[in-house]
Amino acid sequence: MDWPLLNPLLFQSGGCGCVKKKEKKVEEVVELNWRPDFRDRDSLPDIKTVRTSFFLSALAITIAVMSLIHVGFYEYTIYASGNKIEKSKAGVASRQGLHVKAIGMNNKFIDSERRIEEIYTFEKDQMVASDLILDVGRSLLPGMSLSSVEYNEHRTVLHGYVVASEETGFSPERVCGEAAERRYA
Amino acid sequence: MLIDAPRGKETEFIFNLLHDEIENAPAELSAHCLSPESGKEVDPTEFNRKDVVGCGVPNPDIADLQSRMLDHAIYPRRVELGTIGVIGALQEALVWQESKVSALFLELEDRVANAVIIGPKGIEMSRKVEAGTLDIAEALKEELSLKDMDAAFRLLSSKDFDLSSISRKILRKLLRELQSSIGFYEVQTGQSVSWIHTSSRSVSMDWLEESIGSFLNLESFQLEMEAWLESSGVSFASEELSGKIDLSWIGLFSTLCSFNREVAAA
Repeated sequence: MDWPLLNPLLFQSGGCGCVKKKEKKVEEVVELNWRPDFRDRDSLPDIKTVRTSFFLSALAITIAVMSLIHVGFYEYTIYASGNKIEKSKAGVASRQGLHVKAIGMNNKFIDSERRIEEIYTFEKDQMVASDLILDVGRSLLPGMSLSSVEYNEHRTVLHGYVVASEETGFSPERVCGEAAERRYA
Repeated sequence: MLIDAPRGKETEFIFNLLHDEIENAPAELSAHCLSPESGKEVDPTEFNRKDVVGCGVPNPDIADLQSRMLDHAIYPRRVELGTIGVIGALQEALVWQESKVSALFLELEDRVANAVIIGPKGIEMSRKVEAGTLDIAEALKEELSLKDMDAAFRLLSSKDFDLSSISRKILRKLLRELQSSIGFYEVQTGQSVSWIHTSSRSVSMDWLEESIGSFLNLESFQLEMEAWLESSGVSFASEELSGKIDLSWIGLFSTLCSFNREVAAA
């Protein structure tokens, strides 16, 4: 009998007629013993209501784009930070002279401050004679007068007179003597 | 059909053979090669065993079947060959029954009959006999001098008409071929064939199996369908339903089974 030419593709991909189609959708093929599947998938309409493959690729593309944006953002941040650092370094270098000058001035100021502090400390402990005389004079009672004021670092001696009547019985010498005993801090 | 594997290594040879076997075969065939032991799909170029089972269906037939199903809003998930499924089911049933003997599976088409001897270890022998339903009907028509083929078909499928007196005459060719095949197998292997199971695609002939069985000294294959199906994980909703199921449903139920048991047994 004279048969038309066979389709050799049917057997090339694995020995069995339908293997060629099987390769396309391997996940659908379940090999069952004694139950070869002759279904012709190519001539059947596509009944997939939801195209999962589209979802998968869309998800993959989204993830890829997101990662790209993420990486790009970080790269840009790194680049921008590098630029900022360079700029700041240049600013520091340009202000170096001013900085040295400022430090010199600061040192001078600290020197002067120390000197002023020293003078102030020295001056603070000194007793001012006019203040002492004014203070003592303000506390004198009527009839009393001072003839001399002596003071040194540790003590003060006041000499003076008291005008007194005979009834009181105080002599100016005695007053003077007592006054000499008073300490003036 | 069983193909001698070394020669089957040439794919063209397999296709030529399939074309010879299928009547009016068109240019394009979908073909599968199965292991005769396990029914597992094999690559004939790498399969080292002696025989492979080759089965093919013309592509236009598949396309036609699919389009007809789609017209009825049925979307096919698989398209299988009933003959192959029944072979698997019979082998599985033999293993399940722990049978040591083989069974003859006879499938009648219009002009040919496929005779397959199935043992617990798979297909033992396969033959095509040039005698089909039409040949039987023609013989009957001639024997009873009927006026047309329709009358002959009516008598063949009738449950009341007793054909036992003339069955030997109308089945003569088929019986002769089957007898020689079974005899050859039994001499070659030393094993006996004890069961017969028949199916006819176009005309239902209830008497046929018993008739051939009595001539060839074979018993009708018996199977407790419910228990067997349950062992394969198929159960019925009600007893009423399971009571209606007999062996003639084996082809349909074979499409529900996975047939892994014989692999373990082999």
